Amino acid sequence: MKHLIIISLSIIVGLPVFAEELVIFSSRKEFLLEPLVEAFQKETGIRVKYITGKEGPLIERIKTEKDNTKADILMTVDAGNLWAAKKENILSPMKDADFLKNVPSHFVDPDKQWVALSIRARSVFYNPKLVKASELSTYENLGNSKFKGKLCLRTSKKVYNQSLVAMMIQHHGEKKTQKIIESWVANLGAPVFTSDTKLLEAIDSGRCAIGIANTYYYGRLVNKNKDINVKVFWPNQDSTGVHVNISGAGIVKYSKNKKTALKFLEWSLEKTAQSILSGLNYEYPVVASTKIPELVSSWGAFKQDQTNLSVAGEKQAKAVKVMTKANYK
Amino acid sequence: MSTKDKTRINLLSQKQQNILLFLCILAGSLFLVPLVYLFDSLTNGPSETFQSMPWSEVYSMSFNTGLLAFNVVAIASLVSITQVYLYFSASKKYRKLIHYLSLLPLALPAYVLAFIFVGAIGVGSPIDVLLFQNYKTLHSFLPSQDSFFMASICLALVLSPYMYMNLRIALASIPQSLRESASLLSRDRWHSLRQLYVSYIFPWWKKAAILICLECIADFGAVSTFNVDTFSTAIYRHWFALFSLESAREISSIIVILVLLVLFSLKMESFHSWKTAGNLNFNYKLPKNRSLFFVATLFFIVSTIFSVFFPLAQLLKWSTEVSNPLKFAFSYITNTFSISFFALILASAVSLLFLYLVRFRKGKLSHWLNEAVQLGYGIPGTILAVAIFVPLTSLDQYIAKFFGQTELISGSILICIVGLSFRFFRVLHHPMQSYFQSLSYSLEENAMLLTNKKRRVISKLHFALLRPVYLSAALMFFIDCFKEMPIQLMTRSFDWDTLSIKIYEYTSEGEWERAAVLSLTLVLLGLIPIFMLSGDRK
Repeated sequence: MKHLIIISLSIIVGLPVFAEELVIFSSRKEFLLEPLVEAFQKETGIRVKYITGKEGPLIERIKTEKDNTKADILMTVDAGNLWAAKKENILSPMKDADFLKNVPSHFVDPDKQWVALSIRARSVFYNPKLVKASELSTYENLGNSKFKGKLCLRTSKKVYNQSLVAMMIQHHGEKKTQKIIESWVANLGAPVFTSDTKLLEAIDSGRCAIGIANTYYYGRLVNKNKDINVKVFWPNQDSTGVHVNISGAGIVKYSKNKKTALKFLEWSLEKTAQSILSGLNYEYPVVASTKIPELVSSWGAFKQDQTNLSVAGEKQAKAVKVMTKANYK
Repeated sequence: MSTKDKTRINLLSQKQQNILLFLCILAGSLFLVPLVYLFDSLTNGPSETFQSMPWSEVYSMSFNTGLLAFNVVAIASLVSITQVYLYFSASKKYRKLIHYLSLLPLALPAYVLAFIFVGAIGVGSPIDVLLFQNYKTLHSFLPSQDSFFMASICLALVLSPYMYMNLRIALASIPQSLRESASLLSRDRWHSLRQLYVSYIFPWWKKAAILICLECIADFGAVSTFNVDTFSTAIYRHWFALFSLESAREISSIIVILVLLVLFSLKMESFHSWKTAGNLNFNYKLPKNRSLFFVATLFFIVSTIFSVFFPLAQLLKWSTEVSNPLKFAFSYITNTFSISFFALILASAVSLLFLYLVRFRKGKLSHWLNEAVQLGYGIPGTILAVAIFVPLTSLDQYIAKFFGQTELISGSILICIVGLSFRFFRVLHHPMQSYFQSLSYSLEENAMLLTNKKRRVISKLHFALLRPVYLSAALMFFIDCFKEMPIQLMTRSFDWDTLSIKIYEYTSEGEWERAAVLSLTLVLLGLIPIFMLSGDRK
């Protein structure tokens, strides 16, 4: 019995991490983080540990643990979450980080508290058998009555859509954005989806004609089936540009390994890491000189929305309210 | 305290009672910390985000949560009454099969069944596309993937075993003499039998209905898959989309208050009318009505197809599309087992303390403390995770100040274990408490005549009597810990990924096949306790 108690206690409490390790708290999924971490360990010899989870609890964990936190880097998807982390005052500014110059300014926090590591475009997708590319133009135009019963959307509860609408509020104001969202809802051909993958599959099968999704979900599907009946369309090329979002990271204010953390971020923005990041998940690299994966480059070049992504976080609460008012579930 | 109570032999001396109370307060405070943390949010006045919440949203989430709970209880009642009727009407050789099939959905987490339904008949699924493109009229009959109907069906199928188990015991507990009297003495045989069954079944039905309601309030995985807005999705939205944990805490506090009110109002009424299972007889046969039996069989087959065969077939199909699935799943099994096992040990120890406190140190403090520690079942896992994490980590910092950088709590799986124990404490403790309280004090008095050693009474009498109830309650607790997702996701330590965490990660990325391998593993592991549970122990 004594042995059982000793073994049990040692399993329960005997798992603290070691202080000299670089620790990443990440809301980016494990299978998208692991290859990056392995490459870094191999190249630098620095041991990296990570824990994945939802952004909210990870931020709350750092906030609560304060000086005792093991987290050195907070890595999230969607700029809104990085904005929230900054608002909670848990990130440290990277003032002397020269490597940030290589990153376009709209992908870096104005106070240098976070930086983008990879880019994902939230674009329009269509079934060429049901809709011609010439009929498409902008996000706003998806509310045109000619698309009635043809449009499919993912749920408004997903942060990707909240960021898209937040940017629309930035460009058009709340009232006009609400009208646009209402017109989208009026055109819905099916109940909202809970995943981009399902939405793209529905476009492929002809159940939906057009929809909005992240490019990497499309990349994953094309990788499985090259003959998919879905094409990407870059909207708003004559106006604001395609809405892009990021996966990004910042150094935790309480980190005891700030130098190592900075080294990791600098390395993540070098060519090797950028290739891994974009190649793993069909994303776009942040550093322009990096070679884009073949499949991703085959979708063509496009004009991005150049608005600083911190706006996505600032206006996210408003976006949620606008979508609720417009009955976008 | 009544005169009768005073004259009873109390196994515990006054000093021992006080020590027990102290230990219960200590153990209880570990469980009550999250409640204090939640209610603390109400003391500072409503947050800005909470204040800006429109009334329509409050109304809609209250209405939806209530309606969902009502639907689920109604459907689960229909399913389980059919199962129990068939069980007691069928010949003996079919009873075991009916019993196993009725219990099997226990192994299936609601979020897994939800993603199976959406994947199989949701928009874009082969059946949806086929009907949409060729048979528009038929397509309109296909249930919408974002509907109350689908969410209610999914939750009801998964939760109906709770109702089935209760109703089966209720029917088995009706004394043979009463059944015979009802069928022989009354002029209207059916009327009197019905009255007898209803009076026996109702308290057990109510107990299961409360449990199902609490599960519906706390569920996040299934309702979010079907896009139904309830209290738990509102908590999620306020925290993750509006970035206001304060507002999420406030909504959670309101839920806990509601749960408290419901539990206490029902308890007050049912305390005196509570019927405990005496001698159970699972072998008698109900009078057979052919047409009713036929309809029940048909309904049973349909519900079993949707709750057992179809989900398993779909999971198997998806799993075959993953290479080397066994190797892929194995690494998460041990973590799932360990966390559930340690949570069970902690909950069992706390439960034992409270069993003796309520029996041997009667009083309001003992009663309320005992009720409060069981409230975890009504708190959504997402918020419970934070409510337990924040205060315990603060305690850790406090300890670290005095003992250096020890960090015993954060960075370990202790928080996860405490969270799971608190969340499912009611599942383990409530059946044991009901049974323990129903035992006559004369049992102990007689035992004390045979031996003067109180320890022997506890070990030989109490433990022996509690063992079967404990085993079935512990298995239920174990299954619930297995399936739980939000607490594991948010409070686990490094390298402690479990099956449910990985299922969540893969489904949120649309990786159905990988999620299916792990779901199938989870279901198969869940079957082990279910087969153990299905033995007809008294």
